[in-house]
Amino acid sequence: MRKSMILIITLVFFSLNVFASEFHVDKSQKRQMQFFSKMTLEDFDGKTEKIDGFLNDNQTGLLNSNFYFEVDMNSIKTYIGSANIGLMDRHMYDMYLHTKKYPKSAFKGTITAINENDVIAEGDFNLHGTVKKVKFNGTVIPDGNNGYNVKFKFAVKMPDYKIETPSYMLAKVNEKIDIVVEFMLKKVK
Amino acid sequence: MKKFQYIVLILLATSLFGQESSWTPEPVTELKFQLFNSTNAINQPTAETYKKGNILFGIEHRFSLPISSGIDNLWGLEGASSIRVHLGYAFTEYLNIDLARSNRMGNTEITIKQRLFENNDESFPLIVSAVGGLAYNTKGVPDELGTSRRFQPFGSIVLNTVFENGLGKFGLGLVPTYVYNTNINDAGYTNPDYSFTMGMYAQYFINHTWSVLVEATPTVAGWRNTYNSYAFAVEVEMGGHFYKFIYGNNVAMNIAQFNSGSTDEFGFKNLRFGFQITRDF
Repeated sequence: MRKSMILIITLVFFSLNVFASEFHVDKSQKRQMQFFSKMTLEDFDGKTEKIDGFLNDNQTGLLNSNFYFEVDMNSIKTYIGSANIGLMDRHMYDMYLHTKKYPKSAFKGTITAINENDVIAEGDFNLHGTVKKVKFNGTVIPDGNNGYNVKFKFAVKMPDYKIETPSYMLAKVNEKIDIVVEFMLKKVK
Repeated sequence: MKKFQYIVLILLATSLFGQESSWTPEPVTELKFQLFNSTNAINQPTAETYKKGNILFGIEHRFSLPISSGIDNLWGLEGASSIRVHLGYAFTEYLNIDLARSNRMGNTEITIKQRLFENNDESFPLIVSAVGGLAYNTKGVPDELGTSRRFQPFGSIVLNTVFENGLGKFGLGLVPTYVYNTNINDAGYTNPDYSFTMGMYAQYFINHTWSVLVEATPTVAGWRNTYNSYAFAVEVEMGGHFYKFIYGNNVAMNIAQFNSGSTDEFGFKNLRFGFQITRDF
């Protein structure tokens, strides 16, 4: 009986400790998704602050942590040079990203490798309703306040996600776009 | 007893490991309900308003010589033209103010458009907006009519709907408009007239870039400048711009002038070419 009780207490304690610490995107801090693409004469960029998500670590470190983030596609603003044109935003939502049908883009995966602050995240990336296995390189840096500063850079080819490559004034946008996501994670439990 | 303890243990551990994240997603940004893409059909307004904080700039021409004038006048392009420039600002997502100037009678008009109602229902989508404004004419008004006759207040209700079927997307608009003091050229008209028109238009969207429009503006009550106005156009929507290539029998463009009617009957002989370019920033 005594042995069983010790076993139970140990396992419960173990399971409570193994249970992931949870971090959420800190909405009070800078958070941003930006994409960059080239055209013949000008750059075509877009950005939004509406990126959200979480990370569940297992208290043995970030390795194998569950990691999720999503972007509100209806909030992306596009820029030709430095000019935001409302009508172009609308074109992007309706004609290329079809945000009525696919209002969010999301990554769901795990941290599979760590080298100091450099990490690799592997998982499923869902964009425009197409899900692809991806591997993203990034940094996850402790902020000294029980949180993390997260930054990932990756590239996607629009045709891979069945997105028609946009054009502006007859100039085609490069089908490869570079994406940078950055946000702070704060510990919630 | 042991079995029971192990079961409890497994359930407890499973429930803890399997606990869902407490994270909840943010709600998705709702886009403004929109039926037409442009803020105007050809001359008549649509119920659409542009994005809060944006500036809308537009320029348009109507050539005075008809295309039937032939190659000698480059199908009307070498004749004089009425020119209109306008600049607008969106104070809210649903309230736009526009200032326009036409060289025709030196007409300057200020217009306010406010969305009043929307029915975001696929069975009968509907947007209703109100348009109101005041025009002031610096030229062409006989002095003996007095300064007050240079002003032309106007107001419209704009109703828009669309329907889609296997053939594509069609947009329809109805624009009852009242303009006060429409006949301002004739010194013999000492009392101001009014015009009540029933503007109507249809737009067929061939794809995201190309569409075609037809527009009719019959006068249903009050004074009319001889003939009703009719027009058709091709619209190209590209790179944040709207380009419209227009044929019609009326060379006026500002609301008070256009809704006063045309001097020429609609028909090939009197068709004039025009264009319109708008862009928001």
